[in-house]
Amino acid sequence: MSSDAAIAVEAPARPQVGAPARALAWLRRNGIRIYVGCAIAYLLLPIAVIILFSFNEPTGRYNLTWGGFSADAWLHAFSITGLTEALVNSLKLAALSSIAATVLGTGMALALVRHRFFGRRVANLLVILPMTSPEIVVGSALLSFFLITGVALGFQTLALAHIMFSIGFAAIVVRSRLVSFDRSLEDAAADLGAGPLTTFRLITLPLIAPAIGGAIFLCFVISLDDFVVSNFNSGTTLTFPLYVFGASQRGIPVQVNVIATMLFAGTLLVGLLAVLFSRRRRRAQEGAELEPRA
Amino acid sequence: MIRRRLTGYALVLPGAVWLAIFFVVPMYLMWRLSLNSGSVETGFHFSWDWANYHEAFTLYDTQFFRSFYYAAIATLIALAVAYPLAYGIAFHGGRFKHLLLLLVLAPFLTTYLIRTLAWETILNDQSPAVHLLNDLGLISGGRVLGTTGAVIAGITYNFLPFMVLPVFASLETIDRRYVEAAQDLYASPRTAFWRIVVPLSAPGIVAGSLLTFIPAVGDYINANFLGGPNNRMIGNVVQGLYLTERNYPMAASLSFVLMALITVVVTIYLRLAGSRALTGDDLSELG
Amino acid sequence: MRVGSRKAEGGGSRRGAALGWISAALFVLAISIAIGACGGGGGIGGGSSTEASTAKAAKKASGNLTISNWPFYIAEETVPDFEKATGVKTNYVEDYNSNEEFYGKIQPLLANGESGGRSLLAGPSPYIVERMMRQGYLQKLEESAIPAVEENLAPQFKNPSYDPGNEFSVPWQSGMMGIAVRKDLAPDIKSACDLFDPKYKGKVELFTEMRQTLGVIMKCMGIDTDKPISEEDWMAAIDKVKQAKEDGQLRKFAGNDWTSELLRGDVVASTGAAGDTYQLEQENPNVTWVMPSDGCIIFTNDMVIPVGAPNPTAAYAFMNFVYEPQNAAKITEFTHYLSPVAGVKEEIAKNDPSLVHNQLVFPSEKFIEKCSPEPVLSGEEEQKVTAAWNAVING
Repeated sequence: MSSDAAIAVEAPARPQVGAPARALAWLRRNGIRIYVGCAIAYLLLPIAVIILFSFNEPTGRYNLTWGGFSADAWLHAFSITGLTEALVNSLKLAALSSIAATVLGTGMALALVRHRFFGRRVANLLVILPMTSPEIVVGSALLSFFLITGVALGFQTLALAHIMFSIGFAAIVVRSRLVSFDRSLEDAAADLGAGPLTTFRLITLPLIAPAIGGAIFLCFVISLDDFVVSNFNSGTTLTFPLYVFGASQRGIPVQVNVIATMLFAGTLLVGLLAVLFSRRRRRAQEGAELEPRA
Repeated sequence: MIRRRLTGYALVLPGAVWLAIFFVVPMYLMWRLSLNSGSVETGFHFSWDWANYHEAFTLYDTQFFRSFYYAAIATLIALAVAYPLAYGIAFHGGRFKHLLLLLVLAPFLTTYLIRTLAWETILNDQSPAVHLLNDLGLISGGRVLGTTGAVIAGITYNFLPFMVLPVFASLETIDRRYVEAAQDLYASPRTAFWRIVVPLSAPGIVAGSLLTFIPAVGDYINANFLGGPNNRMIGNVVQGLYLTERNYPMAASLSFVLMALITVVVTIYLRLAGSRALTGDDLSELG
Repeated sequence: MRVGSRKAEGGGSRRGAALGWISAALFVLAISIAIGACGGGGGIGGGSSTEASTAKAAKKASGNLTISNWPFYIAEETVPDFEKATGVKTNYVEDYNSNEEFYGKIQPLLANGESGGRSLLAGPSPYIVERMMRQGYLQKLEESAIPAVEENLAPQFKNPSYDPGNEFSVPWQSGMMGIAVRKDLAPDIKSACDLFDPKYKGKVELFTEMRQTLGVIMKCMGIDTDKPISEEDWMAAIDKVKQAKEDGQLRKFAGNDWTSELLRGDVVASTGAAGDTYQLEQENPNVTWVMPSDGCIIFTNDMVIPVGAPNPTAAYAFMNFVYEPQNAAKITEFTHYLSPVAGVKEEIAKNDPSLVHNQLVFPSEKFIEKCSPEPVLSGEEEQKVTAAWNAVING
């Protein structure tokens, strides 16, 4: 399994002479690792800035230049009413839409993998289209829809929209799990006389549970981060990103960085736990072939 | 069998109906809206007013062209940056593979807007980074913000993980024995890389470039925060027309044409690339 | 069985797909037609021309009040003082970034008879007030509910041409639009035309309010803004701005965000209001306001009660509160804007006599002799000019 044996760009060992040549060889061997390190540092740089500026003591309205260290914003993280309200809206919206979208998306994934019906390809296309359309088109089309049908803009339209653009992501995550696992277990359960519902509950659901968890997590993060579609369809309801956009014009309070850091740490923690969990699971699976739980 | 089929419908319909009502119908209504005439004050009514398209295009063709141009450049840069990164993680990541992937995804766990605003902070005219770039002669005029380069860099940064993930996924599936076999047959590492690894990762490159290109064309956050008045993209125009000017017909026609153009570009690209990674039944390759 | 089904699918996929497409198309068509029928054939209604109703005041203000306004436009203590005095829990939202943007945001709600929870808007310029009146988005004010306004509204602010008798609107504050500069980085900017000096290429911003920004630019172009302005003159000014944009002279067209870049020094000059600039000066003493050599534009923003306002009684209470001279004086001291409240000068003289002689807060006739009110546009001309301006700042 040693993947390092198969490095394509690695130079074959050659007799070395002198320090510069050795340094060059070392660089050649580790160049790709250094590159990975630099690229990841580049990806994380803005996050570092966000976290750093959550400890800033700005001189005026604007949290733009470094004015000295202060933990003040952390101690009063929820002191700005509008910001806290926007955050609560965002969390509610993300919870609601991630669960609803995962339910709908899981249904679609099951149907697409396990069943044959007319319109299957259309259903496939429906899953993939919203994800592959630019957000601005999705957002503006939805606004057109709400304006023409006279639906009042607000939290309810945000929820409808967020569920819509999350379904596809949920369906794809669950689907990739469904196609990869052995179906003989389900067949065996059916052979033993279990009804479809029982089979689903006892066999299928536990097997796809990690994917369902992953789908909820993914949809949650996507909803939390969404700006464009929300900006079109929010009316005067504010979510966290919408608050930030409004505040960017008049001066962003340090608390925005604090909350962004909290959200980052929280979701990262969930992500890390998922990585650990899946690693342990894989190890367990390598040891013993899947044992169905009763 | 009938029952199975019914179950299938029961499972697929709730989601499909939702997507039909809140995606397909809105698209249709937006198209109808693009043929409306009127104003916010008098109200809008359907009138087959194709002039909206003509007017929208004569006014905003530059922004259309600019959006596709920026998105294409950003996609190419993202590929150049992401490929070695994905390669490094897939082939040298070892037991840190998943952790490294999580770090690549980490930017998605902070709000898009705040990430972009952080770049605004990093790249402001007074920042040491910009002074350094200026002293090195890499930028002219002593600034990064408000330039084409800043917008393209912002887009590249923000969509980079979309490129890394599919490329990584396709590199992961390459059977290492092919590479070993090539080397056993005295192919140089370079040849092995270009003749074996790159072609086998093509589906990932295709998927990644689409996942980067499509949102990049419609993006307007980077142009808004990092660009100047000569860097505005079609997304800025559409959002301004929809949300500020309330000129719905013109806005809808621009949005609709954007969608149509992207569909055309993507179709041509997929034809050329000869891949079905993004369509129909091969959907699962994305997951 | 799985292998079999896969195969069957492959064989029948063409026909299955065609059927699927057709059924889906029919399905979508049916829904679209159904929805189209409800939505009046895919149109969107406009404003209503029905007689405006009056916002009814209850005896005593209570509950919650949400107000929308521009940033930099109120004293820190005003809202807490108001809450203490009345017990009304107040949510003061600074979500005005431009007149058009705010109007665009709230218009679809107003068209449905809702105000997004807002009972008081304090940010609109006269032309927006007029537009909202025309569309039936405003409620009439009840004279008897705002005694302090009746008593203390300064005479020169009474009876504006767009709202005779102040039936719908009461001034919030007034200000002078001129030029905000970094005196350390651009000491020689004296008029709006100096913003177009190639020396400052890429270091200049313009405020997105068309009437105010083009107003000061037209003044330096020698166009008389006190007389009705011809369409050609408007277009000439827009062309000047467009040219500057294409030459890379302008860093940005900015709403309230012009302020941050000026503070940082990324921008050295911008069209800006005297009050905002004074407040920025407190953060960075190098920022200063310049009265353009060819005069400024004097603008006003009004308080109005939109349709669907959930708590007009509290809105009236707020109007009364800020029209008490001692409360108004605090706002003036903090913001350095021009107050429409009579008696503010006397009130300020008690606390801070030097401020009374500040030309930016209490300008003399001579100081503002070249200034004009915000220029007016109407009808087709307004549409054309606005469209041209939008194409420049939005494109």
